Amino acid sequence: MTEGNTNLLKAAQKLDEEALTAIFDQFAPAIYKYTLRLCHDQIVADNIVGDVFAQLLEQFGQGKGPRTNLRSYLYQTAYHLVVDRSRDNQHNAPLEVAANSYAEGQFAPTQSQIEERVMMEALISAMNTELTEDQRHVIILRFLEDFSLKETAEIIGKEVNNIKVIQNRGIAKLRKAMGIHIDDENDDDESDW
Amino acid sequence: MDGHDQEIIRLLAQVKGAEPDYPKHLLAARREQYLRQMVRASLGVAVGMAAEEALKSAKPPLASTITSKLIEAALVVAIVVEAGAVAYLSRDKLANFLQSVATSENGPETIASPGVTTLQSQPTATPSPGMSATVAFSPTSGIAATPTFVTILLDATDPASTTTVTEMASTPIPSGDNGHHYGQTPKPERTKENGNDDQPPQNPRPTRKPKPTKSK
Repeated sequence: MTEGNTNLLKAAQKLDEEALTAIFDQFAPAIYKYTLRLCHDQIVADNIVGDVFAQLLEQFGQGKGPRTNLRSYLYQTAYHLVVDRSRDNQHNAPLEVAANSYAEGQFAPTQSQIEERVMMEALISAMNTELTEDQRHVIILRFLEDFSLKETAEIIGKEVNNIKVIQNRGIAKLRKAMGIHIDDENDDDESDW
Repeated sequence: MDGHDQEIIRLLAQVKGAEPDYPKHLLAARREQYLRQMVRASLGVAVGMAAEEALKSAKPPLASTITSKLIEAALVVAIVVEAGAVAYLSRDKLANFLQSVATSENGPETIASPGVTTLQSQPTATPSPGMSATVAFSPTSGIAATPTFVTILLDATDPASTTTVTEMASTPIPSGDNGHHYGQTPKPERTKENGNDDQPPQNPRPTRKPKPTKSK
């Protein structure tokens, strides 16, 4: 955790309004994106962001809350809220948001951009269909949120070695599912010769 | 990781960059809500701290919560005992009031017969500060009166005694109208039951003969 975030956390523990506001401005968008990846619903993701920061305020008000890693704490809280909601709703839609938004603003995509989009859609589809919940979650935290192995283990509540295994298996499954597309791309490159 | 894995990771990074941002209107509304919650949290903590300071600075005779609760319990007990004592001291008035309420119902007079005692099944009735009490007389008619808003203490008479229970006089009609109208309803007519005369039996209840002792 950076020194700036450490000072921010200390001030927030004392319920300093500027520090608390800065925490929201810094982490709310990221928490929203992360939650959106998990629950696939904008409104639900927005509500969970509200719940995450409400819990944070409540914890600080009681003298509790995170002492060191604020970011991991927020993601962990968001994850637990998503899990609770998914138990209630039993809703699991495919991850389509990212693929659709990619096309926005693309007025005249080039050939490479089109190919890139196809690859991304295939990757998203593979993440939804080929991976288990844990594997998808680890992939999201490690490669989309840039958490370390230790932080990922804390958020999910597993051991670091277990996280490594889950990650490697998830990558292997994606590689296998994407293998056709990657081979096709390599074949195209080779055919240029 | 091999080249294919690196390609996967590269694609994942592209997915990350392509995801939609937090919608501005949702973010603004959520931020406002958070700021309000923040103010409430700060106020709540400030009030709690002020209350804590006030408690520390004050000089209460009782420092501990347990002691204060004990005194509170003792006060409640004292109130109950006092209410019971008041009810005991004013039992005659309460009995009169009960009689007036009983006679205000449409039914025969609840006059205890000589020799027939009240509350035979209950030798004593301790006073209670309850809001209602049920008194069962045992005259020959077997009519029970059910007064409300009254506590009653009635002494049981000795079944062996020959003294009779005097008729309770009804309470005088109140001059002011307090809305209760006690004693204003007409006395009920006493119905005649099979085998029973209107008048109570003249002979008093025979006294119990002492049990003969066994001779050894």
